[in-house]
Amino acid sequence: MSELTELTLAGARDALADKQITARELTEAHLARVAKADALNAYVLQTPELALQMADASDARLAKGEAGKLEGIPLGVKDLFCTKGVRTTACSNILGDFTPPYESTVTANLWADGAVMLGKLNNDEFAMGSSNETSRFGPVINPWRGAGDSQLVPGGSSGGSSAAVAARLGVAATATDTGGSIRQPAAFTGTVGLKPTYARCSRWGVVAFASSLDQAGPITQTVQDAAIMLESMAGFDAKDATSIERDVPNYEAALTGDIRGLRVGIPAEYRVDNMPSEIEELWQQGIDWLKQAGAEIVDVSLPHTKYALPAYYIIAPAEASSNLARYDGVRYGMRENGADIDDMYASTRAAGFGDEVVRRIMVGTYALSAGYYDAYYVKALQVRRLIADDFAKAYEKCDVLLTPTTPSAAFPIGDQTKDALQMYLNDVFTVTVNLAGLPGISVPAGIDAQGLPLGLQLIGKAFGEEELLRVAGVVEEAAGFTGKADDWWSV
Amino acid sequence: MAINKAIAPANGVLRRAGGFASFAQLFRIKGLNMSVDEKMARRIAMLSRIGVNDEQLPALANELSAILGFVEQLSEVDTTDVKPLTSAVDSIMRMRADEVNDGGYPDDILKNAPEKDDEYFAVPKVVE
Amino acid sequence: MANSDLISGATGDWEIVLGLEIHAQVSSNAKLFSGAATEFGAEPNSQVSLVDAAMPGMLPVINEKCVEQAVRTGLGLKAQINLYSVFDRKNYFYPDLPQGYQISQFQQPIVGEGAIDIDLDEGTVKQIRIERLHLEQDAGKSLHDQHPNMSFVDLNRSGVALMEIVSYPDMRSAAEAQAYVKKIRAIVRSLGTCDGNMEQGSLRADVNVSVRRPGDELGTRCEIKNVNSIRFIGQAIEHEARRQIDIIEDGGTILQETRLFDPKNGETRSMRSKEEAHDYRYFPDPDLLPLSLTQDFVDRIADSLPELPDDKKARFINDYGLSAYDAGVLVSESENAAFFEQAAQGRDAKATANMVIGSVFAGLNKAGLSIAESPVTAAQVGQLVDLQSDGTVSSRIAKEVFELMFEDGEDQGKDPAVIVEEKGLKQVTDTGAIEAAVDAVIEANPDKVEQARERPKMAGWFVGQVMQETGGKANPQAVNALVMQKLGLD
Repeated sequence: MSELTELTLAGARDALADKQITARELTEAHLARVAKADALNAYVLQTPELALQMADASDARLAKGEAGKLEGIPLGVKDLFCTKGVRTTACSNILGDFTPPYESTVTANLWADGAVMLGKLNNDEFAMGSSNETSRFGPVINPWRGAGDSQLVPGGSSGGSSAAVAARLGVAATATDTGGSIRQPAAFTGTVGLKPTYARCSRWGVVAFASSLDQAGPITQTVQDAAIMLESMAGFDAKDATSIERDVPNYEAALTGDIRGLRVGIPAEYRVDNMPSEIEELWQQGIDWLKQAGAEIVDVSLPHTKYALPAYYIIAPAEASSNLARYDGVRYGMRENGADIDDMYASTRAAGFGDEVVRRIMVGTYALSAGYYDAYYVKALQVRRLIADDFAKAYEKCDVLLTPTTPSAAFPIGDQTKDALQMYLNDVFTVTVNLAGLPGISVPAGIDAQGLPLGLQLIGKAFGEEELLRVAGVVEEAAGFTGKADDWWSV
Repeated sequence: MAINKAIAPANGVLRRAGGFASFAQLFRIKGLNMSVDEKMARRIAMLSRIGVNDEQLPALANELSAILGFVEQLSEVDTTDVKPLTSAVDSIMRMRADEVNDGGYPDDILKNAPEKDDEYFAVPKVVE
Repeated sequence: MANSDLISGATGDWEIVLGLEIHAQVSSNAKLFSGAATEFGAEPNSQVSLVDAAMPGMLPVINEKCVEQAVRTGLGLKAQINLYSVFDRKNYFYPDLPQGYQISQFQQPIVGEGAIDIDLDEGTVKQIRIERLHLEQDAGKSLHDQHPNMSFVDLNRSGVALMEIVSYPDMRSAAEAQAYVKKIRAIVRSLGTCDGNMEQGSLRADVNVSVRRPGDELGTRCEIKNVNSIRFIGQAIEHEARRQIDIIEDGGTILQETRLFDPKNGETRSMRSKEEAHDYRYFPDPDLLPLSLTQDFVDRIADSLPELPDDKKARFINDYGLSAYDAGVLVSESENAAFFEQAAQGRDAKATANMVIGSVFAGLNKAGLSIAESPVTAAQVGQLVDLQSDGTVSSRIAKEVFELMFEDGEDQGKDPAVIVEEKGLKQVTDTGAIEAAVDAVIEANPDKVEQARERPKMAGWFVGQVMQETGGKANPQAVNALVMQKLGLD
C-alpha cells in the first residue's frame, strides 16, 4: 500500500475519480503510516474512526457520482483549527481537553468538499514559535535529518503540518501563518507552503494569535496541490467581519506555466551581507529560472524591510495579549484553584501558558499600557504602513517578488530555544508579507551542503494568488525538487 | 518618551556565531535595554494575570528588556504624519441584520466549564 | 438660582459638580456583535452564542440596528454624528467579561458633542452639554450571594449593546442630575432606542461627584457606579457630596476612586480599591474594521425621527395653550403624551390636560399602574371632559364619575355617560328645583341667615348646604346666584 501514500493530492484525486483506488484504501494507508510515525510527533490526536467514516461516506458519494473537489482526500489539521467534537488545544495546556461544539469555517469548507480528517497536527503553542518546540505535546521532529543523523526542527509554528506532509502522513495539511508559520516550515521540510492574502480564508473558528496577521493556508507536496487546497479553504464568510466578498477563482487552472513578460522584482534589501552562500546561490538560481521562462527581472527596493521584525514583535504580541485574555479558567480549559478570583486567574494562566506565550503576552501588555502605547504600539503601526507602502511602490514596477524563504535550512532541535530573539530572526524574510497582508508561497528549490531542503519565496499582490501560483509552478518545475526524507522514523 | 536610547550591545543577547549573528548585525540589534525593571515586570505580570514568583522577576525583566531593546530600532524611522495601519483590509465594515439566529444552547456553552453550578459558571467568590 | 444649590458646610458654602455617564441598553432583537437574543429574564446562559462566551476563534460581526439606534439617539441629542468611528478593546479581567476585554469605542466614538435642555422647577430650563455617545458591549452578570465561597456567572447579558452617553460636568445639584436622567430617558423612549427601564437595568448611571468652593477649580471626583433609580441617584449624590465636604473640612483630601451606592443604608462605599491596578490598554479591535457610515444612512434615520419631547412640549404650549409645567409633565413619557392627545382630540385641551394630569396620572400613580394598564381609556376621558364642558356634570361630579370608572367595582371601565345616566348624576340646571332647595335651606336656618347678612362670606355655607341637598348635581353657578339673591347680597 505504500505507493498510496506517495500520491499527490492531484494524483489521488484523479485515481479516486478513475476508481483506481477507494477513499477507504487511501485513508487506511495514511492511517497505517501515521500509526508508525510516533517518533515524529506530528499528530497530537489521531481520529482513525472518524477518518474511516468520512472515507466511507466519500466512497459512497464517489459511487453516486457526487464527488466534491476533495472527495476522499485524507488531510491533517493543525490543532489551531476548531473541530467539532474533536479536542482542540492550540497545543497549549491552558485549553485542557477543550472540545469545541463547532467547526472552523476553513475545515468545514474542506469537509463539505469531501476531504477526510486524519487527526490534529502539532504546532507551536498558540502558533507562537518558529521551530515547533513550544508545544505542550513536545517538539515535532523533522523527517529530514542533519549531519550525523542529528534531529532537526520542522520549522514552526505549523511544524506538525510540514512534517506530516513531508513524511506523507497525510496527502496535505492545513496550517496558519502569522509571521511565516506556513512558509518557513515548508522551506524546512521540502514542502510547498502557501499563505494567502489576508482575508482570503475565514478566521472564524481558528484559535486567534494576532488577528490582523493570522491567515490560514495549506502545506502540500506540490504547487498544484496548494492551488486545489486553497480553492476549497478560501471564500467569503459572513461570520468574519474582515472577510472579503470576493469570488474564489479556479486556482488550479491558473497553473499554465506561461510567465512570459511577467515582471519579477528582486528586493535589494533582502540581499544581505554574509548571507549563507547556499541561500544566495539558490536565490540567483531562481532568478535565472524565471528569466529563462521568459520573465523580466526587475530590481526593486523595500526600504523598511529591516523594521518589519521589530514592528511585528510589537503588533503580534499586543494583539495576542488581548486575544489570549479569554483563557482565564472560567468557561473552558484548565483551572488552577486560587484563594480568590485574581489568584485563580494568575495560577491558571501561569500553569497553562508556556514560556514563549508568557513572554509575548507580557511584551504585548507592556506595549499597550499607559505611557508606552504611542511609543511602541502606534509607532509599530506607522512602520507597518510604511512597509505596506514599500510593497505598493514595488508593485508599480513588478508583478511578483522573489526572495529566499528563510535565512537558513532547518536547525537542530534545542539549538535556538534558549534565545528568543535568535528564534525570531527565522521570520526575517516572511514577516513583511503578513504586515502588508499579501500572499506568499514557499517552493522547495534546492538542498544545502548537508542535503537539507531550502525554499524560495514568491510574494504576490493582494488577491493575486493565481499569478503567484503560476510563477510558483514555474519555479517548482525548473527546480525539479524531488528530494524526500527517508523513513528512518518508521517503526 | 518611555523608550530609553539603546545602550551598547551586551554579550549574551546575541551570542550565537555564524550566519544568524550576521543577520543580527545586519538588523542592528542593539542589545540590552534596561527599560523594564523588576517593579515594571511585576506590574506587567499583574496586568496579564500571570502568576510570577519574586525569584522569577529578574530573569523576566531581562527577557522583556532584551525584546524591547530589539524593537527599539523602530525609533530610527521617521513616522511624522504617517497614519497607523491597523488592518491590511482596505474595506468598510459590513453590518449584519438584527436577527436572533444564535444562542439557545446553554449545554454547549457550559459543557467545557471547569466548574459549574446548575446553569451557571462557578468561580471563586468575587469581592467588590 | 445657582446659589440655592449650594451646600453649607461648617466652614462655608460648597458647590457640587456632577457629570453623568448613562448606560442605556439599545433596543434591538439581537446583541451588538452576535445573533443571540437580548430579551430580559431568560434562563441562565440560554441567550448566549459562542461569540458571547468568547469561545476560541469566535469573531464579532456588528448588528446594523444597534448602529442605527446609536445614530438615532445622537440625532435626538442634537449631537454630531461621526461618519467614521472605531471600535476598541478595553482590556480587563472579570469573570462576567468572557473575552477579557469589552469592545467599546474610545478615541473615535460614533456620536460627538450635543446638548439637551432639562426641566427644573417652575418651568425653568437648563442646558446640559453632552460630550459623546458610544456603543459598547454589556458584560454578563455575576451573582455573589448564592454560595458562601463561589460566585456564579450568567452570560445572557454578555454582548448586549449599550449606548454610553457621557455628559459634561454641567450639573450642580441632585435635582439637576435627576432631571437630566429623566430627560435622557424621555428622549430614548420617544426615539424607541432604549426602553428606559431602570429596574431591569436597561438604563443606569455612573455619577461623577466632586465638590468645590464656588468659583474654584474642579475638585477631585469620585465615580459612583451603576445607580439604577432616579431616587437613588438623588440619595447617592446627597450622601457623597456630604461625605466629601466632611473630609475636606476635616483637613483631608478626596481620593479619586470608584464607589458603590448601597440603597439599604443610603450610603456610598469604596469598591475594593484597585484603581492603581487598572490600565485598560485600549487599542483598535483587530477583529473589526472601522465603522464607516454614509451621510445618506444618517439622513434616512433623521427623516424617520419621531417628534422629540422638547419639540412636543413646545407644540403643546403653542397649539393647545397649555402651561409649560403641564406640557412638561405630559411629554415626560411619550405614551402619556399620546394618551393626552387622543383624549384632547376635538375638545378643550386645557380641561383635558387638567383631567389627565389631575385624575388619570394621579390615579395611575396611586394604583402603581402604567398608562397602558389604565382602566379608563383616552376616549372615555374625552367623553367625560365633554360631559363637564357641556354642563351635564359639575367638575366635582366629573371627578366622582372618573373614580367610578377607574376603581375596581361594577362601574369600572364603563363609559361616563352610562354612569351618569344610571346613577342620575346629571347636573340640575332647572332653576325651579334649585330655588326650592335654596328656600328650604334658608327656612331651616334663620340664625345663619342673620349671620350671613352681617358676614357675606357665610353665603358659601348656604351654597354648600344646597349642593349637599342636591347630591352635588345642582349647577354651582346657579346655586351661588340664587343664594346671593335670596339673602339679598347681590
